Amino acid sequence: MKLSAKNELCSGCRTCELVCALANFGENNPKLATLRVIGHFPAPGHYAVRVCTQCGECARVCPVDAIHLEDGVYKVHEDECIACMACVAACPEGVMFTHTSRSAPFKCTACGECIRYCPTGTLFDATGEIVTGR
Amino acid sequence: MLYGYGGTILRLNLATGQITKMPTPEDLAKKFLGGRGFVAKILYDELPLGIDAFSPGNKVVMASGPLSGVFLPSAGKIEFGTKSPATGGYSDSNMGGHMAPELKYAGYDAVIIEGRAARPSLIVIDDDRVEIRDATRYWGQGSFATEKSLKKELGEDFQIATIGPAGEKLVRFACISHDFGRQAGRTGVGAVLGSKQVKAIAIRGTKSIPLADPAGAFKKGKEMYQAVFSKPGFKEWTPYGTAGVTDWVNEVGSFPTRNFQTGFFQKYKDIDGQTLREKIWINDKGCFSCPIPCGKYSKATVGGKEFYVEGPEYEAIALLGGNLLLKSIEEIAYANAVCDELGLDTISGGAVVSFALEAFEKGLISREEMGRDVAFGELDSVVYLLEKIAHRQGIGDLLAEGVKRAAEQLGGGADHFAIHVKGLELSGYEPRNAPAMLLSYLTADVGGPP
Repeated sequence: MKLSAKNELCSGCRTCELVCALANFGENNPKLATLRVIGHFPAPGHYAVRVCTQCGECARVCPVDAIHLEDGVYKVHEDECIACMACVAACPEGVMFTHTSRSAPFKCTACGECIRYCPTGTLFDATGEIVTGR
Repeated sequence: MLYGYGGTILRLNLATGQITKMPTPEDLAKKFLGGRGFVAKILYDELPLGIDAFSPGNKVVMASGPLSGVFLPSAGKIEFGTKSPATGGYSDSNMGGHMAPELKYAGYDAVIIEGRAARPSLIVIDDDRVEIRDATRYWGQGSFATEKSLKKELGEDFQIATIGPAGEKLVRFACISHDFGRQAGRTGVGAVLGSKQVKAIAIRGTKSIPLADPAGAFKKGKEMYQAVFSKPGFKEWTPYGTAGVTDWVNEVGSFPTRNFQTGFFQKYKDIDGQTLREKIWINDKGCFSCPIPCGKYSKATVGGKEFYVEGPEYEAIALLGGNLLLKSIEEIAYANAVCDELGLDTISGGAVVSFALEAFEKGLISREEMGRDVAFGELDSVVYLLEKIAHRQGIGDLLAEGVKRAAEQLGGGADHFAIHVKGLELSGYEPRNAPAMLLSYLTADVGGPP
């Protein structure tokens, strides 16, 4: 799975943020999502979705190797994390997140739920494994 | 435990600066659900009889609903209620965007705004931290200019509602604006905020909404999204949004045209949803958790000036288009953008301008009183009047009172073409060929409704 975004289709509804937090944490809270919809208004008048590209920069900078590559997806092991936040600062997409309710930073797990429920087809899997539910 | 709710009702007294919080009563939630129910119940209990809309004793209540912010389609609206300066009665107006969910994530179901601040003020709600800050530097600024500046000052993740110059000047049909194109447009809710010297409300919330069964809610949300995706309207409605009804309303003869003199606009194909999509649309712009989305974002050029606007929505096309005889979607979009920045409701704004143009034609407003010649179909005349109204300059001071009060002042039979119910100008349906809408006009508590 390779999460990608056609930003020109995004309407800014943030369904992806809701779905992500529910799928990953069972919480109804967009601030626990691992992707972000950013609006650029009034000009130039469009949205951009910041998504994890699984580039591995977070794992590279982690001083205690708490981020492991598993089946093409970088995963944070909370029990090994020392919450130094080096990964948060290093993430080139700005999608390594923190929240007061979580002890460790969190990121995209490539579950694909955001793609299934994105109403506009903005989010897609570049490998074609996961398809839209539209 | 109240599931689905933020759990707290926030009360702000602008005169004393006192900020109080109380748990959302379970009984209130059970009987009145939220949103409009909360607004109506709180105002009914708390507003003294016969109070003036602009007196410090009036209150503004904003409320989210039990489904706001939850993973379910299209539950993103926030409700504002107050005693209306337009009708003198109970009123509420709602808007989409992202305010209602953010209020819930901050932990609140309703905010009660009381009293009158001594100086221009900004209400900041940042989770548990609530502050009333000075907003003198924003006073006089446009709605979206203020929103943009506040996003820079506070952070992009704040959701912000503002009023424009029209709200500050107590124009009786001033609106509340949000998200660069969403408005609680009707009944003058923006003017009541202006009377309290509240320039803006900024909210950021980071909390989860407690759900009794998160897994069940997730499953139900997925089913409802799938149901939306499978409906034929999902594909047909999305490209044109509310502007898509322009053709139909003309074909049944209900399109407000030339101050409601007729229900059909000859050139309606030049201003309909298809034309909007082809000529000025640049992006769809949805409200929170809405898969449809009806919001359209546009860029156009008029007189060499490039500008951006959300919409125009159907109601703006009707009241600023047919009703003023503006002939192109670009001109309507421009008038819409002017209303937005000034903080004027496009519905009442369009209706008041059309009333003024007819009064001018009939000689009830002289050229001297008007300050210049004006005419239907001229964008220049429309913008001139909108600006006069928003700043209450010259003839604008009278027109800022709305068509009912303006007609009473003018006399000479002006009440015959002052199109309103209970002091609220009618929305985008000439009702003789829209009987269901007529019934709504006749019975709605807020007057001529959206």
